[in-house]
Amino acid sequence: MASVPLKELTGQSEECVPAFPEAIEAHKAMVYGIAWNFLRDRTVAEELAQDVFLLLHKKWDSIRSREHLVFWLRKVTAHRAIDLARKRKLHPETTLKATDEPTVLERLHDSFLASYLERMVASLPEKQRMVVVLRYQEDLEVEEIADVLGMRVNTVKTHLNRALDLLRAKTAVRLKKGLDSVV
Amino acid sequence: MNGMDEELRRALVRRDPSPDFTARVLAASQTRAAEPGLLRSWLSRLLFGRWAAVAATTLIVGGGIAYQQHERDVQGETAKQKLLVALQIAGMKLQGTQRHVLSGGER
Repeated sequence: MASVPLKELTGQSEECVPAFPEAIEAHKAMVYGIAWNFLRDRTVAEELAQDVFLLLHKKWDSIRSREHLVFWLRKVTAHRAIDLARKRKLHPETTLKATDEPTVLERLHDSFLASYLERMVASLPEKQRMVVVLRYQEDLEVEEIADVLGMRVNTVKTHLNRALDLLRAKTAVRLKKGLDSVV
Repeated sequence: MNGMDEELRRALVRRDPSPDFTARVLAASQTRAAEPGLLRSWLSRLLFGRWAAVAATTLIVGGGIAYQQHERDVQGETAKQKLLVALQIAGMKLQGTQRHVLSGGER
């Protein structure tokens, strides 16, 4: 069980602090964030995040360092989210044409663009979507994403470029529709 | 860094789960830690799992057969008793007839 304090793992002085609860508090935003940005369903994302931490609890003895812990959490969360999305078919299929009519505020306010981008990301194919989430939420380099997802570096680059091309095209269509309705 | 990159970084941020998330995870981890070991778990499944249905069916069928046998036994015993009574009655009548015959049929 999680009886080894995390600080021991990094070579720091030993303290009588619970390690597993500390790991949850330190990394729950990362785990839940990946799950939410990928799945766009709060309940499902929380269930997934809980499952990840429960698996961590079971596998605690295999964690070698703080860095290994973060890598392990990202890897397990990413793979489980992809598997879950494939089983549940959660990603809404959104074509270039099928976009909602923007309101006046949505055309003008940056935060609504962010919301729109979130929805567009959620409509990407699973692997492209996870590459985008890991790149922009976690600020990972292509090589790091490749390690997490077990892909080749060139495959990650391909997924990333295709995803960005698709997002730019969808955003351009949305902006054009907004401008046309204003003029 | 182009505009799309910046917009995506602003859109895809880390988020906090519900406030009781940590407590729920810890509670669930403690529940799992308190679960019985493999052998006990297997025995529990044997007793209370699918095998329970098989055992219950066997008991019901066996009980039905035993009940039917009991019914037959009861019926047999009843018939035996009736036969004995009938034989006694027949015997008594025969004795009466015999006395009548031996007495020369006097009235």
